[in-house]
Amino acid sequence: MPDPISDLFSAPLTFNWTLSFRCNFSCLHCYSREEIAQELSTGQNKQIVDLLAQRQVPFINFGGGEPLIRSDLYELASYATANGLNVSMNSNGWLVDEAAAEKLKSSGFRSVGISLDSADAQRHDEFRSMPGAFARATAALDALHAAGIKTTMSSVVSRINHESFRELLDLAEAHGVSQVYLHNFKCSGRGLTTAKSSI
Amino acid sequence: MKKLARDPQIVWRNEKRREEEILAALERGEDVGDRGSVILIVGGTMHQLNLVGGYIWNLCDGSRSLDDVVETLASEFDVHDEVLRHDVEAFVNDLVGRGWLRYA
Ligand code: SF4
Repeated sequence: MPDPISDLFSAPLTFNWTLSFRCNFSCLHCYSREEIAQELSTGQNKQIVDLLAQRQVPFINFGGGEPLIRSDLYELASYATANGLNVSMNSNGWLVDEAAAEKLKSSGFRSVGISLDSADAQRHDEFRSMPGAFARATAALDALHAAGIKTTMSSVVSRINHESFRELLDLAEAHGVSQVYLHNFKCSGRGLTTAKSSI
Repeated sequence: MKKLARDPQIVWRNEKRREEEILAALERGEDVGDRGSVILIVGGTMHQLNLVGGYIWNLCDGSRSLDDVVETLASEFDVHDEVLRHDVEAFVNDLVGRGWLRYA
C-alpha cells in the first residue's frame, strides 16, 4: 500500500551499507557469514557516496560483516563526511580500542553501535563464539565514549537474554550508551541452520 | 543586528517533489498549511516544516537577521508587512525556543 508520507520522499533517509560480509567473529546466529560476494573497490565505494550526496541521502550506516575489516573504512567515512553525509556503523567492538576510537572520531563518525547480547560476559562470549568478546565490546563502548562518539547498543533477542533485559539496560547505562536496539533474530544465512538448536 | 543560524547538528533536506505538489495544490486553492516541504531530523525524530516555514528555515543560514528574512519574504508574498513580521517572528521564536535556530 502506498504510504503518503514516505511516498513523496525524494530519497531514502538512511543507506544501510554492507561493505563486506567478512568478519573476525563467527557467530552461530549470523545472517551474513554464509554470503560470498565480491567487494567493491575504494574508488567504486566513493562513487556510491557521490551518488548518495547528489540524492541528498543524509545518513549512512555501515554494517556487515564487520565494517572495520575494511581497511578503507576511515577513508570512506571521511569522504562521506566531507560530502555532507552523517556516518555511523554497527560493530562487534573487538577492533575498537582507544586509537581506533580516535580515528573513528576524526573520520566523522557521529555514532557507533556495539553488539552486546547479554550482560553476562560468559553468555555473550558463548553466543558470539568468541572468548573475550564481552570484555572487548564493553571496552569499545568506553573508548568511544571517551573519544566523544555517541554510542548505541544492539542486542539480538534470544534465549540468553529474553528474561534479562533490565540487566542489559543497566549495562548500557553503566557504559554511557544513549540508545539500546533490540533486533529480531534473522532466519537466514548461518542463522537458518542453527535456529532450532541454539537460538 | 544578530543573524539567524540553524543548529548545525540538525540534519535536514528540502523535499523538491513535495514542494512542487504543494505549489500545485496552492494554485488549486487548497489549504496547504500542514503539508511539509522541508524535513528535519532532530535527535532521531523527523519533523516537517510547511512551505513558508521551509522558506524561512532556508533563509536562516547565518547571513540574515530577522529583518532581512522578513524583507526577503515580503518581496515574495503578498501580505501586509506588519502581519508578515508578526508571523515570522512567532515562528522564529518557536524554533529558537526549541534550540533549532539561534541568533549568532
Ligand atoms: S553476527 Fe556480526 S559479529 Fe557475528 S559473525 Fe555476523 S557480522 Fe560478525
